[in-house]
This record gives sequence, C-alpha cells and structure tokens, in this order.
Amino acid sequence: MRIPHIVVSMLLLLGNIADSRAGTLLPVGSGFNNPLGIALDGDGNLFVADQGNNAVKEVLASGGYTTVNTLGSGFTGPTAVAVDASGNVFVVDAGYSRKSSPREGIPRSTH
Amino acid sequence: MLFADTTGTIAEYVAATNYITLNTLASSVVFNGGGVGGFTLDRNGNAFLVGARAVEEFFASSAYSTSTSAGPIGLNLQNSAFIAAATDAAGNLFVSQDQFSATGSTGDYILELLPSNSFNYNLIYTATPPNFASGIALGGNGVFLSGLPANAVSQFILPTQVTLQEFGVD
Repeated sequence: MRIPHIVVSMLLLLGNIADSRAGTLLPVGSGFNNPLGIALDGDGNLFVADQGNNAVKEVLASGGYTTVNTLGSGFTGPTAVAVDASGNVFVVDAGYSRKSSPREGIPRSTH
Repeated sequence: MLFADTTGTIAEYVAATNYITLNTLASSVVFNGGGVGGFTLDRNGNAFLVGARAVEEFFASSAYSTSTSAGPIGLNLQNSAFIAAATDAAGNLFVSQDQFSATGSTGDYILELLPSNSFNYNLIYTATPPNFASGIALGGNGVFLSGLPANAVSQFILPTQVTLQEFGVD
C-alpha cells in the first residue's frame, strides 16, 4: 500500500516542526569578544566585526573555520562588515562615526 | 553600497563616484515605535528591513519608494535590537535574534521566512537561555551566526532535506 502524498506532506510538516533543532551547531574560530556583524565572501570565508576586540577578523573556510586572521588595524568598535564581489571588505566602525567608505575597505590582496 | 540605519533610513553610497555620492532612498521607517534592527538584500536588490514585530520589503523596481509587509501573521520579534537578516539564493529570508517569541518562551532563534508561502516561517533553530544573536550570514556551508553563544561565532548546518520519494512505501 502506498502512502498518499497528502499524508506524506503532513508528516513532513510535522517533521519540520519536531526537527526544528535537528541541525548541527559548530563553533567558528575563537577569541571573539562581542562579535556583531558577519559576512561571507564567494569562497565561503567568514568576516567578523569583533567589536569588543576592536578588530575585523577573517575565519578561513579551508580547514573547517578554525584559522582566524586579523585584518587591518585601528578600528574602534566595528559593528558591521560586508564583502563585495571583488573581495573588498567594508566595515562600519563606530570610531569613524560613518557607515562605510573606501578608507575602511580592506582589499583582500593585502593580507 | 546600499545600507539601512537604526533611524529608518535606506541609502546608498554610489560606487561610480568612489562612494562619495550618498543617495537617500527612504527615511523614517519605523517599526511599531522602534527603529531598524536588521537589513539585507535579496538577489533582485529588494531590501528587507526587520524591526520590532515586523518585516518590511522595499522594492528595488521603485527605487525603494514602495514596500509591503513581509512578516507573517503572528511574527513577534520582540525589539529592534540584535536582529539580523540574510537571504539565500532562492530568495528565502533568514532572521535571527535573541528574543523572538512565538509561544511565550524566549530564546535565540533563527527563522526562515518563505516568500513563496506568504512569508510564513519555519522555525529552524532555538536556543535557551537567551544570548545575543546579532549577526547572520548564509552560504554554501550553512548559516553562520555571531554572538551565539555570547562571544562566539557559530556555524549552523541545516538539516538534510528529505524528498517525498523517500517516503513512498508500496
């Protein structure tokens, strides 16, 4: 006997509700202090506005998100990051009191 | 580069002018008395703003001058702080924050809002006790969260999708 699709759909719906926590949560890097904004580049590398450490960090996808690089310097409470298609990183830094500009852009080729 | 701030302004720095020109596209967007807590774009350039108890989609086709509610009935984002949003390649909107409440309980949540289903949502992750969920990003390796748990960044790998065929039993 074949289970009707409508029944299967209902089972799947119930399954989604019951399994809402069934995903896997893994740590990414370490040493963060109040991390706020995050962004991914096209290679899957993760960029973190590490506000409490006054730093912007990159966590490399290769190796399973364990290697953490600090990018640039002189940030004061960065709160958000974004990455464009060329890999430039834009930072919202409270110390500069403005949203973003090329001055805060960090070309990936420099690190 | 398009952005939104907590005063409810949507604006863009124009790349063609080396990010000197600033165009304000919308202003004074208010969510039930609160400011903008999260902001993201979908693949078509439409902007989603997330705030207290509401999600609003602003359309790129009208230069962000028109919008519509994108939040499902019953969505109860508690405040405009520490809300983050991101979209996947299919246009689904993911929202995380630390005090979503659907049933009276609070904690850290990730919601997947489905445009193909009137932005009804899947609750795909919860955690208690509450911690900050202040950043979210989507990629091929899963959903990334900042501040969950506090002072940490985490990678949430979505459950494997199950196809209907696997449930067919003769």
